[in-house]
Amino acid sequence: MPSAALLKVETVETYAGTTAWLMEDRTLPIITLHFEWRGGTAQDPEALQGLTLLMASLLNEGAGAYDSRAFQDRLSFLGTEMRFDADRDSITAEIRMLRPHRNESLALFRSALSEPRFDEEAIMRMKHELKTLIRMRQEDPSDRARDLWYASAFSGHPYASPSEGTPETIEKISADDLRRQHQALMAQDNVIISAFGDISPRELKQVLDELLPALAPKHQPTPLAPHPLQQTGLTVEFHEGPQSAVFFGFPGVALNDADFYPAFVLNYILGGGGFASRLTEELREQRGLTYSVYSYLVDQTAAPLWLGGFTSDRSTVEQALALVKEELKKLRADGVSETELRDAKTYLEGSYSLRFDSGLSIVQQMSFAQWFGLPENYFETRNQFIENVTREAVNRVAREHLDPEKLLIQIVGTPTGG
Amino acid sequence: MFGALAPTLKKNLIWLALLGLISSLAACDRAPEIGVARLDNGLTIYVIPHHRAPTVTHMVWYGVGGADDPEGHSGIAHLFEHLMFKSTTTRPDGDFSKIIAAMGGQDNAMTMADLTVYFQRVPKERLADVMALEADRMVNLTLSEEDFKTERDVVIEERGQRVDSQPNALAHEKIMDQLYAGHPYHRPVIGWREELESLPYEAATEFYKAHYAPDQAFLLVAGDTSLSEVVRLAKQYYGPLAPSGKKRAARPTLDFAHSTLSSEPLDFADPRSQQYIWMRYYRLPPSVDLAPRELAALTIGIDLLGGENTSLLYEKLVRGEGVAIATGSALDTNMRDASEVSIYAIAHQREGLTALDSQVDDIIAEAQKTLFSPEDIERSANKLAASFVYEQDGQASLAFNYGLAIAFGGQPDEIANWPDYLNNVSPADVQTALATYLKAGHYVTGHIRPADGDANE
Repeated sequence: MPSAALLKVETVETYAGTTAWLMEDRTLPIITLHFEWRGGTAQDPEALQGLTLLMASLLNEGAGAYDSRAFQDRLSFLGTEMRFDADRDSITAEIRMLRPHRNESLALFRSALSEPRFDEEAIMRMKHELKTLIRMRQEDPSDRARDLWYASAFSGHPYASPSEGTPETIEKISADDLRRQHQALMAQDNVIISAFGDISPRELKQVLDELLPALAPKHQPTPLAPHPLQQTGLTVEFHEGPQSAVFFGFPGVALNDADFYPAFVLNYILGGGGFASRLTEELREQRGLTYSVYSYLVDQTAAPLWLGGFTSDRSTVEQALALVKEELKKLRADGVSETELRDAKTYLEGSYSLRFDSGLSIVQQMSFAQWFGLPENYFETRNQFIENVTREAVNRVAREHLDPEKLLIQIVGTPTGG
Repeated sequence: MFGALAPTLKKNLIWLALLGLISSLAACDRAPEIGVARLDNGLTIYVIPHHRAPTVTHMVWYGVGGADDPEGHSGIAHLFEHLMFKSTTTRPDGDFSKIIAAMGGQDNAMTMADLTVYFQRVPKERLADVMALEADRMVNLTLSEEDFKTERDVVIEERGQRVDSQPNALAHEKIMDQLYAGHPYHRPVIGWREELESLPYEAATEFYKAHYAPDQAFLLVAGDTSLSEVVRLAKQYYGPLAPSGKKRAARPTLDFAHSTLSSEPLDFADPRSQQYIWMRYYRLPPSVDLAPRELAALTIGIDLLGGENTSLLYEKLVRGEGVAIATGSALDTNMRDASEVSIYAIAHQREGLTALDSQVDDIIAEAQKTLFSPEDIERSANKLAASFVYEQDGQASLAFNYGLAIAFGGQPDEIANWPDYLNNVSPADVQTALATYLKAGHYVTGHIRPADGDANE
């Protein structure tokens, strides 16, 4: 059983009414903070796609009196790591510092949040980096397959665009656009805060009471329409080379849905469990058709999704894809065995505490739980939710969801037929 | 800056050990106390306490890797790693990972040029079980021909995914082929595709006999346990295994004294490439051949040269209207016979690639002739010393980093002193290290570009 002490969350109320989650650990003199704002790159205006990610990338490129070089010099000098990132649904900030340097580290963090400079030189440099990221994703068949899948699945919806945007839209982004997006999306009322390490609740409250006023009080999002997945079919994009990448998906199950835990357990059996999964057994262990095949559930703001992928030699990719469909059909028709269910629960429950390894992984767990409105004792109760999953529920979810006809599939490569 | 482009600087942690104690240092520089013991059959045991979670990370590190592949059989060490998960005489179903999953654990393995490591992360009550499993597969592997053929296909698929569909990885292979010509490091650990396709089954059985024994490995356990508990269990499960009595095979020595490599860049044009990437790899003596102070100076030097966006390369090539989009450098000390320095830059366009040859040379020359300031050194040392602490924040990272440090030798009592070495490096030390180790004739440069050659900017 995971130790109670490890999973115990303390909550800290800030003056602004925000509640932060904290796990104290004094073994090492490290403080890790994770901030996550609701609303991410799907908030980009269509003509300025890439805006939110570019904005996030610039937050450690100069703030207040420090230009980019001076700001980063200062962080290095303190041994402090500060990263900003964004995906379709959120903007994240992660800062890790040694306790003796917390005051100045937090002052720099506050500065990045409240007075980012968005200097022209830094904007130009980060635009180049962003365009490079686009090219990197296009070069890699697996990344390309995933991006094309989203474009297809969410045609007409902001999710269709990758977070990076296009070279054309990036070019049009101005410093004013960046400032406006920063003000609009990174506020006090849409932030989720998690902390781990060498800091007490009282101290964390002081830190947050000083930090939060750096943010605008209220965020101004553009409403994001739900877009349940309806698109199906198969598309192929040509890409040279011996290997073809496949990305597939079908409608998933939301985390707060009553069927989520049965779906989660089912996914482990299908393709989430590595060598314990059916897909790995059929494609890799039995037939050597792939090195890696996986599936996962993701509850994105606009749609819950059930996704997966693999790569295979061009001569075997169609055979491999047929096997994936076959497994979906089998699970739908016959369900899972008692042994499969028991083994899945044993793994999912027994391995849970492995997620609570480093400070970084622990703050991410806390942020995830807060994102979905889970209670502060969630980590202590989560295994019971898994244990309560019945075979009946799993098989019903399989019947309702695992339908090869519902698949949307993207292949990047040169499939030649099995 | 974007996390996705941040270069990683591999740190060298020199190994810590000797029975029991390492004295604790100043508050920021604490390192855990490592327990050490040795079984009669030659298996050395290291135990690192970590009590955050009631789990243990159990690792067996074999001193064999891709560099031990027989000529013509490249890839066998790594393919063999795959086969270790298959049936043994006591577990004919061959479902190693499923057994670990059924314990609520995770497992994996990794093959490098000089190491193969197998590890599991399990609830602490399962330590005996994983020892039994590792001891079992160390000596009882059945190795069926059918499993061999299937795994050979899997490895070819792995190569397809990781290398053959990645222009940068293909270029890296060809660079390594030249950089380490005449030495086993010239071959990729994953193996050349043609050799993989014709790897014979017997290569696996021979490899097993030659390299898998308790005196050719060490055991490292990190987690919620103690030296006495680990030793008690190790004696029970690993103790009965017979030593091989074998010594490591001699390797050809690399010539670090004479300049033998051409400075002419290799040109890699690939229709799938969308970037213009300049890369250079230097070969250096292995880290065990450097005094700790020298190694600290070199580590800081490489960091200041290209480590992050506060580095010399980034300042000169990227900031302002730079010729490059991103730069990076790294020091890799995870090999027995060499260390490696890598430098890269992403250029805006094709002309930029050629220009970088002399521009990078000039910047390196500047770093070798002009002293970095004491503030620069202090900044780098602080950052690297902080990383040393961050690497201990997590059982998996702790176990893995200490395992690497132990595997690649060095002075026994030096690991915990690493931050002290960093903090005592002078500008002159850095200048000397860079001048000594970044030399003409000891590197290979590569230009990776789209086949059509037109700029994408």
